Amino acid sequence: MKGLFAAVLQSRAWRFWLGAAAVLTIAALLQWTDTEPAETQNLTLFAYEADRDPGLDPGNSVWERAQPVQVPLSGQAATYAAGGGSVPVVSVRAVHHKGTLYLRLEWDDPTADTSSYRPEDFADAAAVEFPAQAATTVPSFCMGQPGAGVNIWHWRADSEQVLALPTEHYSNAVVDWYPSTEDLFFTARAAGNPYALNASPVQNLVAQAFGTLTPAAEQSVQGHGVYANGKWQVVFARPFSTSDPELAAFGPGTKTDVAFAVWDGSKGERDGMKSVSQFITLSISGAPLAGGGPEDWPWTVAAIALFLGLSAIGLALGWYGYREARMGR
Amino acid sequence: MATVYNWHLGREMSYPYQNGPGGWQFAAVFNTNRCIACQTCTMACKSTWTFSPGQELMWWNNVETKPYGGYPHNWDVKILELLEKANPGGQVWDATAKSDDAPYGRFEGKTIFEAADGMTQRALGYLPSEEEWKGPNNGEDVATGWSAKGAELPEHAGWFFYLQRICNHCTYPACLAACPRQAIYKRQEDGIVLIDQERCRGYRKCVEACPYKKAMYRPTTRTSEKCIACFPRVEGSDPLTQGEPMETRCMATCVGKIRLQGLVRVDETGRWVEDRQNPIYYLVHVEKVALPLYPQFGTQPNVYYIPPRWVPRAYLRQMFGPGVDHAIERYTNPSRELLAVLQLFRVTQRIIFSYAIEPGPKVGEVRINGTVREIFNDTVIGYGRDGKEIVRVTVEEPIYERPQRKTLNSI
Amino acid sequence: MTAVGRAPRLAIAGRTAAPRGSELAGALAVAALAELLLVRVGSRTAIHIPALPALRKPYALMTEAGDVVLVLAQSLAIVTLAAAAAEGWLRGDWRGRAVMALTGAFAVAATAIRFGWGPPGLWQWATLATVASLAAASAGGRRTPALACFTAAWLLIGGHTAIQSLGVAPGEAGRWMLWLGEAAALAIPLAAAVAVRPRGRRRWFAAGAAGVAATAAMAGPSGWTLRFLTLWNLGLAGTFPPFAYGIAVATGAASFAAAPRSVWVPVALLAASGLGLHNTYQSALAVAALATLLLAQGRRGAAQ
Repeated sequence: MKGLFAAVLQSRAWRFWLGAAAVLTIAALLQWTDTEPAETQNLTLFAYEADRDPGLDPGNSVWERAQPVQVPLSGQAATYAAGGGSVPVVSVRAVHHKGTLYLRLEWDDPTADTSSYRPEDFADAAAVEFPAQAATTVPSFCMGQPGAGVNIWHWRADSEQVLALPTEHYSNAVVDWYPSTEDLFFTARAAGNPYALNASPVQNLVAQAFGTLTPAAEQSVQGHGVYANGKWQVVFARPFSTSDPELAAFGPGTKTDVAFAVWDGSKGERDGMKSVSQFITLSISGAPLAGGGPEDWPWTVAAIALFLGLSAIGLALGWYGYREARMGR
Repeated sequence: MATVYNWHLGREMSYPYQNGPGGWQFAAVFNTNRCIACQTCTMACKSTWTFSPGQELMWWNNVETKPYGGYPHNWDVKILELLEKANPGGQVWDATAKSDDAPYGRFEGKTIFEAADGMTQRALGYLPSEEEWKGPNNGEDVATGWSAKGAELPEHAGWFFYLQRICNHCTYPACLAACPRQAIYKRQEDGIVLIDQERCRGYRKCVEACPYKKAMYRPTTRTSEKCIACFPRVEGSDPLTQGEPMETRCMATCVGKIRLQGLVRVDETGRWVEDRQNPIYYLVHVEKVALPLYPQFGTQPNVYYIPPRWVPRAYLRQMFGPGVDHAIERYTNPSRELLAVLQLFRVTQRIIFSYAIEPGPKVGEVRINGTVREIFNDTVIGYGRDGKEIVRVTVEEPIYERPQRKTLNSI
Repeated sequence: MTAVGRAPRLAIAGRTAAPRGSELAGALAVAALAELLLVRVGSRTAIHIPALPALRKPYALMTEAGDVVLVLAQSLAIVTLAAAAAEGWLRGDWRGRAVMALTGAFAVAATAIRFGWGPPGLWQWATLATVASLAAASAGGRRTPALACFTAAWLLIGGHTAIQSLGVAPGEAGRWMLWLGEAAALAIPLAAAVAVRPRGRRRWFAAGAAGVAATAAMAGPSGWTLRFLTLWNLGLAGTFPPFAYGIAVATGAASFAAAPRSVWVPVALLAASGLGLHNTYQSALAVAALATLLLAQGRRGAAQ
């Protein structure tokens, strides 16, 4: 049989037709059955079920038990308003409690830029992005489909502050009289602009492929950021389910993709000028949040054994090849 | 990047978007020679649109004293410097290359769009700090020097002049080009450029990009706002005129009668459709007496200035382009028709869409540059959008003598 | 003048021992590069271009073409790996058996990941070890330093991911892993240049121009796009100064041109796979590349 196989493979024509047939058969099968043979191997952020509500306080002790994932960031420059790249890495933790997903982002920033009051002031910000529909293809490709939108949760530090009048913001400011301070005279407020209304520190936004960012009808994302010791810690929280098909939905035992972005206000970063990650996998597990890591120790041992075993083969082969080369010479 | 035609520059230039389908364009002519810097326009604007918390430093209309004044401080000098750095020595005009499509010649340098890298900025610009938005009338009435011999035309030794500024509602707005949110749009029906207050997220890319610095940030709403060209008035939705388009507040309140605002027809290339009897078209395209402000920025602004005739020409050429000498020559010795059309400034609140002249008798002679010319008391008639007469005025201002009669308060 | 002494051997290598699996691998390389261009670069960056209705159609076209090419590349990857294993089995020498065993190990890992058997961390480590072992087995002679740099970069960048899958917080060490991984990645073309010693003034001139262009591109405003893409496609965060990438591109281009034809396909496949763990498709490209390299080596005899 081996001989027959070898004979077939010796013929150039046979090889070509066999190879082409195999490739086309597999491609057709994949296309027909709508099967994605590949699977992500990237970072996986696990969200386990917490026994206590972590709330919106980033300092809650629940977070200490959740394993962080360190996500590398890069400057944004795919398109205009390029820039950023000043924050190299963001550390992310995730848990869920009673049907609400909690994410905590943590990153280094030497300055707390919490105001956007002066024309030249920009506030620090952070965002989490999900595909509206959990990806069915290799994750990083999911953005590449027209019609497939993304759901973005965007936190901005200035939204944690009250929207002060100039007389409140500058203690020595003097204004004789404002004829009217109704909403109508704060045009953006009257137009329903979420920043002007200062409704929440976190905005729930949607963006369609090729479209632009728009606040979602459902503003169900909560959040809170705390700056201490040169670090921002920001918590995002949203119930699993949503009725809006443009928004990401979650549930125990599901997986989706998630990407992160961070803005440093004092560097003039806003809009596309940001540090962004690629998509990583968010795996929401029904298992309770343990004290240790997401893997049980037998798996860790197995992984190390597998790695060491396979590497030993590799080293042996390498050494063998080296010796053979020397002897052959 | 699309390629669009900028007739101010006499050439094509790159701009992020294609031209619209054409339509009407808001445009105005300001006669700098007549301005007394009373700031009535400024206060009319402020008391109409920007009197609320967070708009304290916001002056959609301002009048600054050139050369030292500027709101925000030194805005024009800063942008000229940025452009010069981007293209050292190259910001020049070829004034010989004149044609109907290029009334001022051809600009050989770089526009703010061409000097920008396109990735971090779509238009070369800077973001003024809060400090720079304060003291909007700094440098008021400060002349370049004092001349013991007094002042004499054509160029005064010590000089200043007033520059009246509103948003230019540019044909190729830099603010619109720069907005990554596409929250800024230009209306087809009148070319007015507006910021969508619902979509704006306060990135201030428009504030950074607008070379005239007429997009402004409002901290109490965290959005940017700008001059809206009193669009309800221009639309005619103000009850006063019963649906007829009306001039903006700053135009209508001008004490010095320096302003004339209208709507001109533009085609899909950004050029003006010939409309000789439209007073704005006539002043800009036929007489070429009114010139765009800093045309080299490349935004094709739509407020046109009759340059001040006593100011050193080099300064004016930098500010209004190479058409300055021709414009001053025309203004100093106006044709019979121009003299009549200049009477239309500020005689009605309604927008004049066309004019006609009825010849009048000769009423005098004046000596200009050594030659004697006759002055006729012609009547100029302004017509509205529907072709109905809305105003009638003569070159010689009629004198009324009030019959003496005792009134109670004896005014 | 270019490598007179090598020319005959190259010719022989090309004619007498036509690499069997490498025909498939060549097709895979073409498909993978097309996929890289259409999907991972084109679709991904174009999605960020603000709504220009005029571009909708070409964009939709590009995405559709990308989808087709991706399916084709994935099918080709499966067949190429199967063919490499079969060839290894037929050959029966130690290299053949190594290819068979390691592609088999990868197939098991990729299947397990696809169907969610066991925790992903376990299979991530298996993938790392497979790639490292294949690289070690292909080592020998002057290609050793380049392969060592490649393996180090793969292990450091992939390890940064795999460590976290085991629940270890990488912390400061994690950043160093990424940094060292990128340093090792940038050293690959240098090591390759040492191995193949590209000669010829014209060749170096062209490579130098490419290097200068790459430096300028990284330093300019488009540099951010490139950093974005190097992170997404190669796993490099782009933390080095622009000229480092310029040098890498210049030496890479010069060595690629000077390298024997037999390594072109594996190198192209590795470029398409990127470094570290992205997804099983990209890992499959790396495994296919190294298997092709190993098999081609065996065919030409022991002496390099």
